[in-house]
Amino acid sequence: MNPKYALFIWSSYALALAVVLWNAYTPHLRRNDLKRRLSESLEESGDHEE
Amino acid sequence: MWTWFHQLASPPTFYRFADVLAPWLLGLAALLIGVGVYGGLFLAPPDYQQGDAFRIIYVHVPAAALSLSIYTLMAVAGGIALIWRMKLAEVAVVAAAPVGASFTALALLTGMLWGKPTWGAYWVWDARLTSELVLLFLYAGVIGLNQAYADPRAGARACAWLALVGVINVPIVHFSVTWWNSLHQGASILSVDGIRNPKISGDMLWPLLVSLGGFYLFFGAVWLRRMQNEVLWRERNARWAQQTVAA
Repeated sequence: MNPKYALFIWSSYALALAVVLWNAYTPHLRRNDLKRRLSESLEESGDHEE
Repeated sequence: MWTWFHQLASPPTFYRFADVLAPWLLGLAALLIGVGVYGGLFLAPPDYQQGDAFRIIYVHVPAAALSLSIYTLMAVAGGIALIWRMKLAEVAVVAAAPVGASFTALALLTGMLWGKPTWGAYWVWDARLTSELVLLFLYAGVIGLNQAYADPRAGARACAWLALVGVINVPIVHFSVTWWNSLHQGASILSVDGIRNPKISGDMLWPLLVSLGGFYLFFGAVWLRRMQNEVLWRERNARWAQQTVAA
């Protein structure tokens, strides 16, 4: 690969990798957070019923 | 067929369907993107005018194509949400927006990195670049509008309206290189002439098509995952959602 263009090419691929990883990882984090919050609220409602 | 679609519109059926489909889409996407990028970086020959700088095409074109396709998809889902009041279509609009925004930003940034060595400038106020920037603002508008409403259904309907109104920008982005004088090159693949007489050599074309397929499958996977999260949150008081959380 011509070193004149290497910085532009590798920067583009690094940005693409960052976008792909962000898109892949964000729903996973949100899912874990949702499950934690929902299970906490379920436990709280269970305590109130008792 | 219609019965199956009707069943799929039910939140618990959709949730289970997405749970099965998303990992397959993600796996296939990783394979195709890997092959496409490897082919583009190491197997495709350098361009006779641009040299190696053209290799940015293998991430720039999929990102740009996705930015337009996702917005069009949001407009279609928005129309369905407004006409038939289908909850899943509302969810589809709001779940697609952040993914579309990220790929629009990627298309702009990789375009800038390609523009510098070929045009001598990172940015020019050219019709293609400017209309793509407007697309990014439209995505930001949809995301902001969704967050501005306390009632998720009202927010999603407002987003559906913005998606429908803003879709007028999609043909403007696509045809900007034909309608106006532009530094940006014309369509190489996504045109009738481009399909009949490809303007790009086969050695360079196959990694691009493979990469395009991979990025579209990747979008499918992450869109389903985001929709699942939105459905789970909206249906949090339903028994099936509580069972899913407890499992």
